[in-house]
Amino acid sequence: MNKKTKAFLTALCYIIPGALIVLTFHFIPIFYSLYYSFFKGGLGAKTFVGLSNYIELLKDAEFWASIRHTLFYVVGTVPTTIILSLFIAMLLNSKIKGLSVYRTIYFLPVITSINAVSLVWKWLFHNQHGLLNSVLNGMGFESINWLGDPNWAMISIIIMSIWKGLGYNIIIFLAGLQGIPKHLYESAEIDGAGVWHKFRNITVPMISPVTFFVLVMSTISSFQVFAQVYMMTQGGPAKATTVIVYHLYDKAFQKFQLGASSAIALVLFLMIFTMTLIQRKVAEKKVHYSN
Amino acid sequence: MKKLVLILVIALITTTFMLTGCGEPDPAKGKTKVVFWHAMGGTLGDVLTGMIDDFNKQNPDIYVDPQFMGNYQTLSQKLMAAAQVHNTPTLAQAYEAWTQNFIDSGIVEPVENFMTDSFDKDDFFKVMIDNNTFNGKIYSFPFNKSMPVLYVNRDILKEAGIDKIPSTQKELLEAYRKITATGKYHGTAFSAKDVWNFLCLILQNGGKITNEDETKAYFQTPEAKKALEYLMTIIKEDLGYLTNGYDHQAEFLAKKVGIITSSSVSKAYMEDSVTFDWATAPLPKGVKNAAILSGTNIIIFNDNKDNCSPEQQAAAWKFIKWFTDTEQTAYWSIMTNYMPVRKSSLDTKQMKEHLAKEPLLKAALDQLPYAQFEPKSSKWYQCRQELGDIQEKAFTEKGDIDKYLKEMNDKINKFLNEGK
Amino acid sequence: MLKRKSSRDRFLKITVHTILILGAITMLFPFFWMVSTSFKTQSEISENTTALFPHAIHFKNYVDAWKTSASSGFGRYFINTIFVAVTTTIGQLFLSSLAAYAFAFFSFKYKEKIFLILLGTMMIPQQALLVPDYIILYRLGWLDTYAALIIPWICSAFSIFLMRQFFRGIPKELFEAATIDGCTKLGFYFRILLPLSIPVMLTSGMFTFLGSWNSFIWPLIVTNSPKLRVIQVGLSNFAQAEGTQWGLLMAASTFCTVPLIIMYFFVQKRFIQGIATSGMKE
Repeated sequence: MNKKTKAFLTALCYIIPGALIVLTFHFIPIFYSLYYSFFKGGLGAKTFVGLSNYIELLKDAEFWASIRHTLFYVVGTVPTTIILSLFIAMLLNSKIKGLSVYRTIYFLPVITSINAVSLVWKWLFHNQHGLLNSVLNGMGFESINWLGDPNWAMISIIIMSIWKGLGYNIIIFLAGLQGIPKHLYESAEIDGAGVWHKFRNITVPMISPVTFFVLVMSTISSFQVFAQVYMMTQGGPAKATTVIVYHLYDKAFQKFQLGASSAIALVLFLMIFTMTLIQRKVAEKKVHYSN
Repeated sequence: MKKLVLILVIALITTTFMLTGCGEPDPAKGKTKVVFWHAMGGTLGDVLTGMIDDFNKQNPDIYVDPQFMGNYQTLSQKLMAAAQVHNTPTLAQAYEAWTQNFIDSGIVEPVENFMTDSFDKDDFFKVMIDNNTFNGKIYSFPFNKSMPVLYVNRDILKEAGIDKIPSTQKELLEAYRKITATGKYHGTAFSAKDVWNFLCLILQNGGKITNEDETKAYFQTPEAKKALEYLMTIIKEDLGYLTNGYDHQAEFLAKKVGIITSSSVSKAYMEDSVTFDWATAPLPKGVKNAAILSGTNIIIFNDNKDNCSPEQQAAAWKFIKWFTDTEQTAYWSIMTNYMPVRKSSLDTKQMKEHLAKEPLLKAALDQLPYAQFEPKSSKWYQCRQELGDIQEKAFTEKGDIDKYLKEMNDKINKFLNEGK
Repeated sequence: MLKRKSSRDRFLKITVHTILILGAITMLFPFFWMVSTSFKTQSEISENTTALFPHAIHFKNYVDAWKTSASSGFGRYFINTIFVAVTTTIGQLFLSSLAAYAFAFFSFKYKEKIFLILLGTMMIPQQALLVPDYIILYRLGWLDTYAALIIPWICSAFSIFLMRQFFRGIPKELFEAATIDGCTKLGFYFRILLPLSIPVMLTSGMFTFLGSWNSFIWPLIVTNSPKLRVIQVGLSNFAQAEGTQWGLLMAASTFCTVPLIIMYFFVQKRFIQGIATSGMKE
């Protein structure tokens, strides 16, 4: 056996136990979806229809709308989350008192189940007697029909999602920031560097692997947003919050069109996959790995 | 040390589970097991499981195993997954559109096949049987059928100077106006997307939703136009406002609106919260009386060799028969406010006593003789959703009514005839 | 000069705290609302929807919610959830770290490709997995067992990714030196890597635990028996098609979340400390 094969086999020994689980329950299903996507009919009897599910999908205005809504959501959520969580992580990293209390509080939304908090937020967003509108009225602004107005519904979902995911990213950034060697800042200070300069030239490059991690993860999960839509708006009003996964869910389990929904799943998969590859390509140039 | 504690704890938990896992005797041992997937949670679920316990006691050779599936959405997900590998239960709750889908796949056993001549079909309300008849055959059986009723805040009505609960569409609209004129309340609130109201109005106007074969939509008709105009008047004159799903119940409870239309079953969810004098009433009359039944039916599957043997199917039918006998249907109705399926149950002593104490159920029962149902096409879920979207659009844009009706008609015609 | 600097510092500190406190209130508010509602009576909830505090502390919701559901009540749900979450987490930590170790330290053919495939599994939404996974579990004969609740989740691409990122921060020289000194690969994993990795283990473990604790649809799809049901299924009892029992739902949501908060409070320090001390980067 040559050395390369041996190295490969050794590595496999470590990878296989976990990979077997992941492949069985999370990878093989992709092939099931591929198979189903060539058939029509959901319950039992199926007829082979070739690519017609895909062709119909491309002609389906609702599908395109769901892609637009998802992109809007991703663009609304990911950058905001990254900026906000980095900002708060930096504040938390400034040797302040009560760090562990802050850390716990900011992490609370992450801990709580999405179903429970969605219901609470639905309440807060309520048009007539939601707390958000009471606050707005109190400050002299007019009420916003958060979840009932097609122009605001997705923004409401975005606000809630940022709230839910912020703590998680803060923790990741905080860990990254604490990993930056102090002496880098100290020597920069000796050179007379200001706050912005230090941020730009030390913090940003040093935490770039963390930023990359957060970027990739939150993009992947944002493309799959579902639970909050399902709980809060059911894709409405006027389909304004019908994101890709909601569309998929609706096709599969409410209209019993398993084939069409499988086709959506695969298209979504390809979209996220391409997105991740692009991010990796960009990252290769920009991300600074210290080792 | 810490690790040791951890390991001990895990070992303890694991053994506990081994023990409980093996220690529990199988209640179905030596009996015919009927697996029943349902979505009745909370108090409704408690009533159902209580009744099933009774049945199991009365029938020592049968064990009905109720398995709770969280809600209707997860139930449909699970049925869908199970149907792929022929792992369905013996019995399940199902909406008509689901049933039609299952029938198309050939995995439902028509309950009619189990009915012997002695089965007194005539004692059932005709609408209940028709609702479960597909292509001339009774496939499913009514299980938890609910009825829309008016919920009225009497205190608000009094304040607005209305002394009689409205019984016609015209009176109702007047009442909304008077309530709104108080400046403190709105007349009503309703879901922007739910078309239950709209469809009921069409029927009250003497119209129909589709033709008999469910191949042709009837939305470009004077009856449908009048129905949509009615709702539009409420929105345009700001006599009522739009909500999500069942949220209008919360509006009613918070004393923001005087009258709402909601399911008879919702009473159980509202009664703990009511802080005012309230009443229920039948839906208002148009040119005639009409109300649309909703809720699910029960179906017997035939495609799982472990759950659907002839003995199990027979046992399942025995359970359905028992569940819908005069006494049980009265009990189920009294406990949950779902509709009794049999005429004779209205004459039982318990029902009469209950109605004397609890007039709220009466309004729903009064509508049974003229109740109708929505189309049963496998596409109907899709149609309903589409109707809801167009209705919502109409309410927000407040444009030309004929345009929306045409859109409804075109869409529904297209869906109904898809794949035909 | 010195004085000026310290007053500027104080001003800065106050600003930082103000921002953080405002943020904390926003973060806390929905949770506060949940707890506050859980102490209100049903009529209180519907009558005054914007009241911040209950009239009186009303414990009945907790008692009623705990006892709910004729079949089992929350006691059994909790035991199941704890058992499933603990075993899933332990399995996950072990299997994922083994794989991440290979990806971070070994060089071998197809490394990038295999890694990408694993990463790809994160890109299929759970809604699309349900039917295929049901079929797979059916073929394995695992439906309606603890195995169906646990085994599909004892390794995840996410954990592998998270751990690989962390392991990359550990200098390769350490690995090379250890192997030259005669330490086997497995020896390095157990004796050097794992002790260094407590923080990422806590992070990854916490997320696995949370995911398992809060899962709702999966347990419903893969199990039937009431005796295998978990807390999130219990919660669905209070939100039904025809109405929601807010007081009970919020009470149950509270007692389902509090254990997680307590747990997090205790692990959080190491959680972060750890990733920071992963240091050794220079």
